[in-house]
Amino acid sequence: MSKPILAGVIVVALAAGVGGYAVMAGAPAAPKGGCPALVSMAPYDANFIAYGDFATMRNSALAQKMNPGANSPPLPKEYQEFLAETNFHIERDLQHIMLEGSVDSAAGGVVLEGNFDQPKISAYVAKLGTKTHYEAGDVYQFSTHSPTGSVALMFIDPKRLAITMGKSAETQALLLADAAHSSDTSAHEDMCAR
Amino acid sequence: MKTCARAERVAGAPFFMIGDVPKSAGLAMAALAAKNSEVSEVLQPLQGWDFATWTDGDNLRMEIEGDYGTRLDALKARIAFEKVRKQIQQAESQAKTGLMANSPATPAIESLIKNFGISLDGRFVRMSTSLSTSDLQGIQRAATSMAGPAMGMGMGMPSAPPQRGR
Repeated sequence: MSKPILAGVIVVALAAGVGGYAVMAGAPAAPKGGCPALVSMAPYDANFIAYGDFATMRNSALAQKMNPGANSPPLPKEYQEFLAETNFHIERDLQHIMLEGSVDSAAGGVVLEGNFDQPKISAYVAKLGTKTHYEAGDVYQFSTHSPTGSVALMFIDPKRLAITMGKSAETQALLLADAAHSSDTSAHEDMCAR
Repeated sequence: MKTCARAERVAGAPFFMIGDVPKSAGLAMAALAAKNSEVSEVLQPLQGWDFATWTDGDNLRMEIEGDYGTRLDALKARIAFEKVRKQIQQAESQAKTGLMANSPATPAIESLIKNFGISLDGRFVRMSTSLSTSDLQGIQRAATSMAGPAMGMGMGMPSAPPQRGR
């Protein structure tokens, strides 16, 4: 009498084990890590945040294999002109990028981290927009001639460039500059307070 | 958004995205879910999501996770997601006979489907897949062959915006 019960228990336990494995396994998790300083700068009301570590990716074995090298197609003329005027080569100078946005507030921003030729880039953007000087730095604003607002650009420190979009683009840029100074001191504490 | 907890789950990956469900999207999802009970189980309890992509040797891995708030809601969503796998398999067989049949990207699509997996991780449901170097090179070739004629027609990079002040 006890044998059939025992067999039944084993069958049920095995079925639960197989079922549990099928449900729990099958998709490896992404590597965990500490919050990058750039991510800690995102506004509290952001609905999404994207982060890219180009410095790490560029040096990966996979990227080396994928590099087209001499077979790469020639760069378009407009991009060559942009490179000449700004001296900003994405594949060489961009290290990290953070993109954030709020669907509810229809606002968003991008922060680029890397090596910038600030005088050249400032001269280039000054031709496209209007400059306003603040204590935190110069903000360049570009009208989009649309109800979605304007675009603002600001060097929040020598290694970081913020581009914001929305009805309060200029204010957002200044807030990012303020957050950048805060995040340098206590990124993790700031993040975990959220 | 619980930025800290979500970012730490995926911050070891060189590229990641995290997000919550905006109020405006929540209303749209509720309307969609009202028409379909399976969609309801997947979308209604969804509180947030994350996406990550990283290299693992010669492979490029990617995953997307949904945060369901409770383990029970995550389990229900995990079971409902099983139908996604079936739909993907159907899409694969259609792609093999359709427009993608002779594309250099076809092996990459097959790898994405072959390596596709779903799992439950506490209150998260995770879907992941991966591509090998040869798959990525196939995508690169496909992109180059598509960009070639477009560049020839002057459709490469957009031109610089006109100079204007306020």
